[in-house]
Amino acid sequence: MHLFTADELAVMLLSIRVVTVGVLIGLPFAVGFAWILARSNWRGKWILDMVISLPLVMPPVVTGYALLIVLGRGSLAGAFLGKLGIDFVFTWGAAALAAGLVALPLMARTIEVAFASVDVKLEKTARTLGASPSRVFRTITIPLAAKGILAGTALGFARGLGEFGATIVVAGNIPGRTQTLPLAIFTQLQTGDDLGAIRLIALSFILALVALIIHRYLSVRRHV
Amino acid sequence: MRNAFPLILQIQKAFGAFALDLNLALNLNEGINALFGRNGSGKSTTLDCIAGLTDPDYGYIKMGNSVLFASDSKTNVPAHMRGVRYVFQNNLLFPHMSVWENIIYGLRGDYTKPAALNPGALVDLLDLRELLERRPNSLSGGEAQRVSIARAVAARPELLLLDEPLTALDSVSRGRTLRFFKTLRDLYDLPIIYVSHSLSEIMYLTDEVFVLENGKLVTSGPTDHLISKEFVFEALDGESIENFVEAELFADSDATGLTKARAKGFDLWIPEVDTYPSGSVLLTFRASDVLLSTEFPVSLSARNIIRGTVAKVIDYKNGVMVVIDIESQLIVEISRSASIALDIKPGREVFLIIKSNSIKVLG
Repeated sequence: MHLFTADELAVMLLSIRVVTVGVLIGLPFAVGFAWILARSNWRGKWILDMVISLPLVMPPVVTGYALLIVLGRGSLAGAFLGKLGIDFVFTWGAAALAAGLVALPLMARTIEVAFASVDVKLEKTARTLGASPSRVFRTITIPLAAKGILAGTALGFARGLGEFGATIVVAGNIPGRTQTLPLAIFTQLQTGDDLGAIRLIALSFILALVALIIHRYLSVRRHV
Repeated sequence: MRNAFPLILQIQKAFGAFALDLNLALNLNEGINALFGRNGSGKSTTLDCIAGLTDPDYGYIKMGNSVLFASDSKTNVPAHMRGVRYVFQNNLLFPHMSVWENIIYGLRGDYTKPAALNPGALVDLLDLRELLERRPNSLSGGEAQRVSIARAVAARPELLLLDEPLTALDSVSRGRTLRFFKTLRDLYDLPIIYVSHSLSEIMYLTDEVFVLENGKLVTSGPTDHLISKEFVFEALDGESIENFVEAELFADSDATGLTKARAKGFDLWIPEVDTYPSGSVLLTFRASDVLLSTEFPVSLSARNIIRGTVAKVIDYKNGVMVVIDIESQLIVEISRSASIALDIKPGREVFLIIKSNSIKVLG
């Protein structure tokens, strides 16, 4: 007995692929920004702080539009990609980028808290034992913040799964190529297939629940 | 054997109301140098500047032939390139690593080559063999601090900074650790700067003292001379003064439940020691636990009566500190009225009376 049809599972797998790639692209940036926010102190830091939060508070449609402007055919970057034979807009890659971008603020915030909770004195101690700043980061900061980094990633994953507005602007709603779960649900509702929509909603719910359970599991403080 | 080399600091640093303004020249490897002073006198900040964890606002730091910091030429050797290892008051072990992983964190290259201070030797010297697989959060305070000392020493220090390393320890761990530092000094001539506000530790362990007050150097000199200076006692913040005495156990316990120990210049009856098969122990007793008599007391219950000469009498709060010469120096705290009644003054012969029970064996 199959609970879901092959088409429905294909939509889910595409969603997972889009969000996984998007989150993996966003993660290094989230870690970098989080580290800067948690460990550095400079005059204009509050500006970076706000810019990182923008995708969290702006309508996602605007975020998608911004991506379209930056990477679309009319832009410098888009023209360059076009010369390489890559048409970025309306591909699953664009959907991944949109998911990564809207997930970025949540990841960066969670990871920032994780970095801030690492005792600076441990890092200083490592320096006095001859460890370079990059070795301190790799062997002390990252391992001690690992749980928070994973929790942030899970949260970003959950956010990316629900991404709709930015995706539809920059990647469209192409079945089998860029149609992720929220877009498929939207389409089903538009065509009046309520039962189909509910089945996809159930799939969405399961995925989101898994991501949130992972996040919750990693966020509970335990001794290392 | 290393040659002695200088550490020269001429630094200024201000934060808030506090200003550090120091001019120090230490001769490293000539025994242990101490920075002494009350909390907030600038000791730890000075160490941070030497280690490269804090930058002075102005000045320079030179160790041997190399300039570690100079505001003029904008020289600032990064902390990890200075060869300066640091043991903090709290052990600051890496919680995600085992004891062994902590100890070898600072090691680079081939550490299996025979070396006096390779990790294996340190593990034995500090009695850590049983703990190597454990995580730091399962260690006692004393164990954790011993691991952090091993970690710092295993990283091949050119200079070892010890910042109040005994403060968080119980008395037995304090004794063991003090003796270990002495071993480091005597056997491996490792240059050490020892920071403490405990006069007892400074007197036991260090050879040269630099006294800081409000971010400035007040005085410096050999530790032996320090004891006869009044301001030293003013810097104590009411800390009770202990005498540390190293002694050899030279007889088995007698039937009465006491053990005899021989210190430099006198014998002591101490509480029974049966866990030490032989060798030396570190004993401690408070300056205020010693009685003074100007005549040899008879029919007394206290087991230890030691003849000495008063070297110095120093007013301290409500009482006086009497420095007694035997072969080494001991400190006795008595009330001012007792001092007047007994006419205690330098040159006077006195008898020290110490109950065996007031002597603690630190191991």
